[in-house]
Amino acid sequence: MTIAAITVLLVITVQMAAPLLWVTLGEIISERSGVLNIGAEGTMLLGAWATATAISFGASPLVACLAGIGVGAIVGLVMSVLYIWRRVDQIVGGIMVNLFALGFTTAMWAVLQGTAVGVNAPTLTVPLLSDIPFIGTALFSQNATVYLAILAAPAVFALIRRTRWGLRLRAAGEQPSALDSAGVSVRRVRTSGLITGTCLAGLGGACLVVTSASGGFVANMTAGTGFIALGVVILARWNPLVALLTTVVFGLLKALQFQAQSFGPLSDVPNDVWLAVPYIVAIVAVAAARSTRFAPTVGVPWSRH
Amino acid sequence: MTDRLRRRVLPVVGALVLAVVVLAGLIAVFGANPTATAIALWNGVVGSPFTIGQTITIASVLALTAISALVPFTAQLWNVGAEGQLYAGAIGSVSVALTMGSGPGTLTLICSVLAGIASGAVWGLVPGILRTVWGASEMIVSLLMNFLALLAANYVITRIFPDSSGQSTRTVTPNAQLPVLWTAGSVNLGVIFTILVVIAIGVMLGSTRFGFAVRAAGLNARAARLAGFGDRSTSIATFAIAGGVAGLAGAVLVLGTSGHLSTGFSANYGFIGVAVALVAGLRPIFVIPSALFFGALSVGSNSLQVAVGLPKDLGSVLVAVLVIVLLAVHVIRIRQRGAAA
Repeated sequence: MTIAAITVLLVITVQMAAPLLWVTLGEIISERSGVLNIGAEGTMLLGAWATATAISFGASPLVACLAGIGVGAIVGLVMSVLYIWRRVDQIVGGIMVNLFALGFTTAMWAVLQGTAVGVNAPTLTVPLLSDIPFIGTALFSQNATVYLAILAAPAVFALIRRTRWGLRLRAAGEQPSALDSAGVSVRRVRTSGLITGTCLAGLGGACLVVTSASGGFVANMTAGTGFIALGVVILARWNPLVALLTTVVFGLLKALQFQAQSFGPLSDVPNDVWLAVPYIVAIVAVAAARSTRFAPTVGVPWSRH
Repeated sequence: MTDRLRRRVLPVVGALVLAVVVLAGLIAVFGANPTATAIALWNGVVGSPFTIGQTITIASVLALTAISALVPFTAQLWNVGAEGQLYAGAIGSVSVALTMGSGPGTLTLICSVLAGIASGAVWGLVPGILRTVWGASEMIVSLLMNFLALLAANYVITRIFPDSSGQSTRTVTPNAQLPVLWTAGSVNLGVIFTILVVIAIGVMLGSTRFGFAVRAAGLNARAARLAGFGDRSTSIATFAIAGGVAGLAGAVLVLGTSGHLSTGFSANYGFIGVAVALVAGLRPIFVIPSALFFGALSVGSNSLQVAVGLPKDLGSVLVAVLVIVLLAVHVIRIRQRGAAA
């Protein structure tokens, strides 16, 4: 167990945590507004596909990430028509969005791919701070989508707690009839919450691509990150700051898949076990958060009657 | 009659037109001719006895995963883990079949089918028990269990019973596989299992005390509890049944269709089963025509690659778009729940 091994482990931890954090923050916003987005996984996958496709056609990482966000916005728009305006069941709708995303991205990547070589987003290294032992490289030598994810957690916290939009968002989720009495359209607030959420899920997919080794797309590359996010949201009790800490723990669990062999006693555990650990921990976490409940209005389409 | 026509028939026609338009647009995006694609899809289903047999076989698997979604749905519980339960069943039955090896074929077959049902049920019990005992969201837990089943299947394929390719397990000896009923279409005994399960579940939900408890829990959990129906045991039982039925689907796939477990051997059958159950209006009797329809769609889309150069993954896109459109125009309705998860 060396300093170098720990440093690499922490770098990967933060890299693994960032996409999960984006999609978790998106899910928090959406659930706070009263919409349960089971389709976060599929949205993330579509965002990743759009980003990788854009990169393959020679787009810069920034433009590619914007493509991921854009696809997230389109998915959010479609979902809001279904869930909020057509009152379609959100769990069934979400399952179908995920099924669509899995088939669509795999098929599209097979037929439409540019020739540009996959590139990673450039790593931005902060001078001096990145020289701090252990955490220096992990925290101060990452790409922009990772830094932004860490900054986004307190930003989303402030947005929900301190702004008028945030107040309306929470009202739409917890007491929609009060919001309606105040003359604010519950449906519009929920639409804005859901679309913001899916944009962040799309960005999570983009983040996954630009932090990956190849900068390309792999079928089903999100591998349940969006579902783990559903669990993290419950564990973090819809609090973005707690979500930041929780996703770092999951990032560490995922990083062990790549780095466990560098740590003496851990190297005896077969890799298949490390692959399973994040899902097991997510299941245990959902079960252990026993007193945590969705607000009764979350997932139920609003109507005045 | 005209009123009934306007309210019941027009939305269905409208939905189908809308679905066809959306799907045609999507196929055009992929650079294929929608008409040629539709013809290829049709030929892919009825083109030969083999494709007809395939449709029947896949429909029987989809009917089972649909039942797996349907039973908990009736009690307003969300089992979106049929995919994982199917894999668990496949693991259980292939493991027993390969371990018993060259023993008497019929005994091996019976044991491995039962092992498939049992392992699926165990997989289904996890979300069921976590839900009833700790109040965990059965929806999220069952979703996450899918990934664990996939990893477990991968472990069995690569470590426990690998064949030379590394992509699948060894093949079960032919005399321990499900007997073939119709050779030209290679339809096996699994079809009979499916029909029996659908009838049994239909009778159980429709006319037994337990079925009444399940339906009562779905309509009004509080009233059901006050009326003396064990809320917890009912919930747990629905998940055990759901898992067992999906596990049977996995057993049918490994013991009949392929004879082995391979990576990605379920083409999202667990999730398409949810669509089958919804289109069937959550009524067991309608599961069979609904499963035949989606089975045809799945089998037909396999031929698209050769016929019009479309990737076969488009099959799940067709299913998803169709169901989303049907949901959007309220042809498929689901009772609103009081609270999420």
